[in-house]
Amino acid sequence: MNWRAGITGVGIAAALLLHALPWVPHRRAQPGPRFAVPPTSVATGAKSPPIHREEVLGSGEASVHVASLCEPAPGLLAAAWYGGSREGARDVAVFFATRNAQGWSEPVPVVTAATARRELGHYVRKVGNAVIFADGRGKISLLYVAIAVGGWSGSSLCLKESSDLGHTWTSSRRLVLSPFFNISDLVKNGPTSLEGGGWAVPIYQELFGKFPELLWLNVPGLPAPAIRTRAFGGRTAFQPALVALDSQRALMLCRTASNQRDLFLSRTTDAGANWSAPQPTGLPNSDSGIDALRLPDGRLLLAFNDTPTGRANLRLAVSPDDGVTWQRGPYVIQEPEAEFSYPFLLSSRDGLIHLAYTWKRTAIQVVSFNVAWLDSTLAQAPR
Amino acid sequence: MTLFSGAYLLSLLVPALGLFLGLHQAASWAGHRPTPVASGLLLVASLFLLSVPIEGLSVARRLAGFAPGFSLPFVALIVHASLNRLGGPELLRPTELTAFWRWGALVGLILYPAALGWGRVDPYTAGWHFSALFVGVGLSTAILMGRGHRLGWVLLIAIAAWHLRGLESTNYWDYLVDPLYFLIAVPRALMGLRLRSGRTGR
Repeated sequence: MNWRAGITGVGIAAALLLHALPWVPHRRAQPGPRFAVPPTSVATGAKSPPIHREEVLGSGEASVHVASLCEPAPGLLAAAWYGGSREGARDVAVFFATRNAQGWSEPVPVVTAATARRELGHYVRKVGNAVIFADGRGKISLLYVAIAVGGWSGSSLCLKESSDLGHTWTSSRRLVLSPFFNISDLVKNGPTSLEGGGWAVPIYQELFGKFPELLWLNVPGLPAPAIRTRAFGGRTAFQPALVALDSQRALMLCRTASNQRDLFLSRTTDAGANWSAPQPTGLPNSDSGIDALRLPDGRLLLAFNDTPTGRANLRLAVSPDDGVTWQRGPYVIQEPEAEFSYPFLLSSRDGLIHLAYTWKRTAIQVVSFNVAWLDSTLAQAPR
Repeated sequence: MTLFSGAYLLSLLVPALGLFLGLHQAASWAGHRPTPVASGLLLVASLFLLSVPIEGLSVARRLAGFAPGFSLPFVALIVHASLNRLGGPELLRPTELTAFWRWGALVGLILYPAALGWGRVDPYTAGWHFSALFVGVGLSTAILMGRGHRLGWVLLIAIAAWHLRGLESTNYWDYLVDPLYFLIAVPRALMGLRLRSGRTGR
């Protein structure tokens, strides 16, 4: 055997070994991720007096949109949204504010296109949709959209984290989730936490197809800190709201991406590995954002625009049977020709439900209520 | 991504070599085929132009906003073409070049349509953990190396780079193919097939 054949032999052995190596953690893999779902408490809030309050959040920007909420510590709410001269403008910043017993803090910009450029070390033309979530131990994660070229379809997702309740943030980190120039993944709704740690974040594509995906973020046992999987492809529905029913079962409620003006629903029974084909729920959707969560008593709560056209109202609906049927609840707000959009729901540890939404594109409205208020309004709600 | 990481260096090197090749081709079209010395100067100028910061960000890093990384076969192709213009050694033989174009076209065709939403199955997910992708590429690498094909060695570097997290991506597909490579490879591979069928058809 000459030296050339020897080197080739070593190379072949190395190639086979290096391609086989990932099989070792794969073979030893723990059971897949499981959704963390708190046990239901039927009596929560039911005997409390109804609570309902409204607050306005604004950063003084001409246009604000896409609010999200989290609870980084008991009694402390945090909100993030984007604002600028208009949607998609280069001056858009992602704002952050917290609420304690004294009220909301002054909003501060956490990231702009300029700061994202500096932190990421590459070109960013504008920033957009941002979602915050907290691990309950003081750490807040901010997932936001950065765009180098084009519109929303040119988005990629970036991550910032804070360990001091939002006073300081880590530098942005780009998540590479798509093989095609790393576009176009976006985020709108909040994640579900997982039993062993980490998150399942509902994200979506809107380039050639419009469809929902899951971002598995910082999940122990997975081979990379950020992995995405697809729920289903095509152009039927996207922008999912993820609601876990137990450790294995969950549903996605999705905004329509087709001519069928329905809210779509898809289910998983294996913790997100496989999803059913999207089915219309019977509720309308005017190509507008929605959100949903599981109430402490196990029912599902949905916030949506109850119209096949426009965004002139925002309404709640409740499902007692895991999304099979929906009972329309109270209108949160309605006004002809106005826009009330992009609801975001959060259930805090004190039993309150918080709904943040875009109010006429000029302010972020936060409505907080308890289950007692919701139940008292359900009976009176118009069909 | 840290300064001088593999991903950072490639984000500077590949666009600079691309610019160098473009300038070299333009000079040839204008009837002034550069000498090796002039080619070397063109390369230095390209590296300089791509690395000069404008408002705090070099042109190369601005381009990195659009493309987070380049696959290893594409890097090999662009290094080969650059060495060729500089009068350096031949990195890839003509028959190997054809295989590189076919590889880019084939792997891209398997990946991109489905990964962009065509159908329920997303092959891109297979690049994060052990899957048929690793079996297929592993066997292809071994066969190519056994035949003395340099694409095999490039694929060996690609899997090593994936283990070392040499690119910004953590997905193995991104080490095998990238959109720019795919878009160039498809017409090149088709041209190669057409030429071959022309030769064998008569």
